[in-house]
Amino acid sequence: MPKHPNDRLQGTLDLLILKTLARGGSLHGYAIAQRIHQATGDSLRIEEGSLYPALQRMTGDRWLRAQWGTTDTGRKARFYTMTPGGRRQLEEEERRWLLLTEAIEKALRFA
Amino acid sequence: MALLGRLWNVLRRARLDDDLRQEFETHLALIEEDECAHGLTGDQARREARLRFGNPLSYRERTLDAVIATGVEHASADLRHAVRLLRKNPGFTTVAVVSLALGIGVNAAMFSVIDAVLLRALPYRQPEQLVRLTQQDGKTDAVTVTEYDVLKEQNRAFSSIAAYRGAGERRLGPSGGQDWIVTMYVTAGFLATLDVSPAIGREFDSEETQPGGPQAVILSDSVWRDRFGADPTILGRLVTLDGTSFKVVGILPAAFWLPQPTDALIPLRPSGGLDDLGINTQIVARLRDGVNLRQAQADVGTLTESFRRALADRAPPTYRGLSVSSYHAWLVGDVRLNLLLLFGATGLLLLIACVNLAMLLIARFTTREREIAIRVALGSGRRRLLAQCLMENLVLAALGAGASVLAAYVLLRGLVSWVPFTLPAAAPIHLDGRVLGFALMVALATSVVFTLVPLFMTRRLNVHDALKSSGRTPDNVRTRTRNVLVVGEVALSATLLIAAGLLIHSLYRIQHERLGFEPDGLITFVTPFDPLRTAADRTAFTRAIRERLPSVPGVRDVAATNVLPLAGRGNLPTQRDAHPEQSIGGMEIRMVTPNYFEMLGIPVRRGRSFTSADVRTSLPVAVVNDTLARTWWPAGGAVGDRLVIGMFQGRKLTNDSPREVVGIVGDTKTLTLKDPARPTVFVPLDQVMGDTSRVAWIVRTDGSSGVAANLRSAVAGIDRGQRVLQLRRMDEIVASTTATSRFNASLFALFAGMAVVLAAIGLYGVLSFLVAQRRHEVGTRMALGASRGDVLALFLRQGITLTAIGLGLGLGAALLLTRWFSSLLFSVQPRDPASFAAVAILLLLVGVAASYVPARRAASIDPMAALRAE
Repeated sequence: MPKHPNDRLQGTLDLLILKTLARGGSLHGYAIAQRIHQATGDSLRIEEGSLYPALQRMTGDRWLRAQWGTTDTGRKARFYTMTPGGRRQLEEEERRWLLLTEAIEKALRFA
Repeated sequence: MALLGRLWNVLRRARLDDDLRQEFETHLALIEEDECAHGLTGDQARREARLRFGNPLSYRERTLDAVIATGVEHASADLRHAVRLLRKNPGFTTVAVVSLALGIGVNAAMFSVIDAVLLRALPYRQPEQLVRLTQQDGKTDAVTVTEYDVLKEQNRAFSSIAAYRGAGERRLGPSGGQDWIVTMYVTAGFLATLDVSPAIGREFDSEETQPGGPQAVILSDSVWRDRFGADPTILGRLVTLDGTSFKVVGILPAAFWLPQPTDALIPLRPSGGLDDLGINTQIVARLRDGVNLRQAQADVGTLTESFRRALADRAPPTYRGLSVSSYHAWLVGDVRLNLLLLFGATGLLLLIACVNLAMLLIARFTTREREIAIRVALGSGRRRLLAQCLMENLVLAALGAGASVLAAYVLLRGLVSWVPFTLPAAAPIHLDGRVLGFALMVALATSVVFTLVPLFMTRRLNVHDALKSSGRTPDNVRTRTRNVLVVGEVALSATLLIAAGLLIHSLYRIQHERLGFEPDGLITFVTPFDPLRTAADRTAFTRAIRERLPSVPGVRDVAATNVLPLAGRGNLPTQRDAHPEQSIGGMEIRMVTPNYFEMLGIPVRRGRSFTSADVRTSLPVAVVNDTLARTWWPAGGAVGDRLVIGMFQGRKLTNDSPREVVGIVGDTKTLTLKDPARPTVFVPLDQVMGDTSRVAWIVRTDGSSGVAANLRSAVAGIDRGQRVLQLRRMDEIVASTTATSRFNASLFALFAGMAVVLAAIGLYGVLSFLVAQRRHEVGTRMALGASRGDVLALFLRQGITLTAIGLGLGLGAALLLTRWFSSLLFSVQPRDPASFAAVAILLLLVGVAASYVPARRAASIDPMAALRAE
C-alpha cells in the first residue's frame, strides 16, 4: 500500500531521511539536513520547509521517534530516531526507488 | 498520516505550534553558529541564517498542515463564523428560519394527516379486498335483508359477506347503575370478513343470528378489562344489556379498530320489521383472492334478476340491482377532497417560503459582495469560500430544520384536535418523517442553489470593480431574478387568497341561510329512555316534565320533539293514503308538543297546528311542511287529505292508522344548512307517546344564569336515574353544522395570511434594495428638479407594477384551479367575482403599503449626500 500516493518527491525525501538515520543514533533536524547535504556530495540541499513537514509526518506514521534533548551547545532541540517500522519502510522505499530508476533507465535507452 | 491522528492533532494545534517554534529557533541558532564558524560576525551571521532558513511562519503552516486535519479545522472555524454571521443579522436569520419553519412544518403536519387517513390502509389483512355493497339506483344506499340473503347464497365473487349497524348505547349489567356502553349489530361472519380472529372465544354462529335464537355478545378488550377485570373464565357468562341476557361468546383483540367506536357486538338478525329494509346498515364483503372490483361487480350484476324475484312486488320499477365499491374509499370519501385541497395549499406555502429564502440569500449576497471581493484579493482560495458558503447554508438549514420539526409537531397537535370532522384514521396520527425529510431537502436545495449560483457568477467578478463600486452598478441578472421571484410570491399568495376568499364567502352564505326557525334564547337537552321503561312509564315521565319544568326558575316555556332540527334524522317510510306511488322511504317524522311550532317560530301556512285536544283518543292528525305539501300536493289540497306512517308502496309495516293532515308549516333545515329542507311529517307527541325511545326538550329561558343546572336538578327530581344528554343552547347546534366550513375557511385564511406576509416582506426587501442601489440616480434626478413626490411616485410605481403582475398571474392561475373547490363551496361560484375583486384590491393595497416605506426613504434622500457618496 503506497504511503505516498501521488508524491514521488515526498517518497524520495522520506528515503533520504530514513537512510540518514539508518546508521543509528538520534539527530536533530539541522543535523539531518547537514548529513544529507554532505552525503549527496554537497549537491542536494533540503529546504527546511520540506524537511520539517516530512519529519512530523514520519513521526506521526511511527517511522521515526522524536524526543526532546539538548545539543552539545546547550540548545533545546528535538532528536529523531528510526523505529523498527521505519527500518521496514526504508527497505520498501529503497526497493521502490530501484524499480523506478530501472524502469526510467530502460525507457531512456529506448528513446 | 492516518486520519485519526490528524483529527486528534486538531486539538493539539497550539502545542504543536509551540514545539515547532522552539525547534525552528534552535535550527536558526545552529545555522547562526555555523555561519559564525565560517567567519561571519554576530549580526551578519544572524542575517545570513535567516536568509538561509526562509520564512518560519510559512514553514510552520506547512508542517502543521502535514499532520493536522485542516479540513476539520476549517470546518469548525467556518461553523463559528457562520453562527456569528447569523447572530449579527437577526432580521435575516429570523425571517429565513421562520419562513422555513412555517413552510416545512405546515406541510409535514398536513401530510401526516393525509398519510394516516387517505394513504395508510385499513388495519385488516389485504384491506383492498374489502368492498361495500349498495343500491345501484342511488336513491338509497340500503340493501334489504332479502337481497342480502340471496347475495350470500348465490355470489361467486366474495369469500365472505357481513352486515353491521349501530345498535346504540345500552346499559351493561350485572354491574348495574349507569354503565352505558356502545353496541353494534353484526352478522355472523363479520369478523371473518375483516379477517380478524377474536382474542378469546368465537364469532356468532348461524343459530345466534336467527330470529328467536339465543342471544350472544362479543365484548371489546377494554370492556373485558375494565368491567370484568380480564376474567379468564368470561366465556359462557351471562351479562345483561338493558335487562336482556346475553351470553359472552368472545372477546375482541386489544388492537381492534372499527369505523365506529364500539364496546360490544351483538347479533344482527332479520326482525321482520322496518329494520329489514336495511336503512343505516352497511354491507361489507371480502373479494376472493384473484377477483378484482370489476369482476365482482359483473358477478353481482348477474344476480339482479334473482334479487328482483326475491323482492317480488317490493322492488320499485327503477330497480337495478346492487353496486360494489371500495370500502376504504367510502370511509374516507367525505374528507378526501377536503384534505387534498388543504395539502395543495400547504404546498403553495412551502413554495412561497422557499422563494422568500431565495430572495433573502440573493439580497445578502449582494451586500457581502464587497467582503467577498476583499477576501479574494487577500488570497482566499475559491474552495475555502465555497466551503464557507456551504457551511453557512448548513447552519441555516439546521436551524430551519430544528424549527420546522418543532413547528410541525405543534401544528399537527393543533390540527388533529381542531379538525371538526372525524378522521377515519386506523392508527394514531403522528408526524411522518418522510415528508419532513422531503421538505427539508427542498429547503436545503433552495438555499444551496441560491447561494452558490451567485458565487459562481463571481468567477467573472472583477475584483477591482467590486472593491471600488460597493454595488453601485446594478447586476441586471440579479435584479431581474429578484423581481421574478417577488412576482412569483405575489402570484402564489394571490391564489391562496382567492381560495380563502371563496371559502369565507361560502361560509358567510351558509351562516346566513334561512334556518326556518329562531334558535335564540333556547336551551335544549335530550332524555333517552331506558328500553326497559314501559310505555306507560314513559308517558308519565314526559307528562311530569311538561307539568313541572315550566315552573323551574328561569324557564318560560317548554316544548318537546323526538329529534331537534339540524340534530339528526328520525325517519320512517310514509305513504300518502290511497296513493302507493307517492311513498317516501325516509320521511322525516317529528313527534312534537303543541307549542313546538310557536316556540321555534315556525309559521303555520295553512290550516292549524296541534292543540291540547289532539290526544290518543281523538282523531289521529298530522301536519306537513311546505316541501312535502309541494311534493305530494302540488296543486294544493293537502289539508284534509290523509297519509299513513309506516306504509310504503302499499305495504303496511306498522299498525299506525291513517292520519288526517290538518295544517302546513314552513320549512326548517333538517340535517345541514347546505341542503334544502326534507319532506317532514309532524305528529302530536301525545298521540304517539310510548313509541319514542327518546325525547328532546326545548326550553325558552329568560336568559338568567344557572338555568342549565336548575333543569338538571328538576329532571333528577322527577326521576333520579334518568340521563340528561347534550344540554346545550340551540344556537350551538346550529354552529356545529358549520364547523367544517369554518374550519376550512379559517385554515385557508391562515395560510393565505402567512403567504401575504411573506410576499409583503419580499416586496419590501426588493424595493429597499432598489432604493439603495439607485441612490445616486435619485440624487441626480432631484438635482435636476424632480420633487420628492416624483421620487415617491417613481418607486411606488415600481412596487405596484410588480404587485400587479403577480396579481394578474395569480388570478389567472386561480381561474383555472378553483373549479376543484366547488364541492367545498355553498352557493358561491368558483369564479365568484366578489372574491376575486376583494383579493385584487387587498393585494394592491398590500403592495402599496410594502412599497411605501422604501419609497419614502427614497424621497427623503438628501440629493447632495447621494451625489457626493461613492
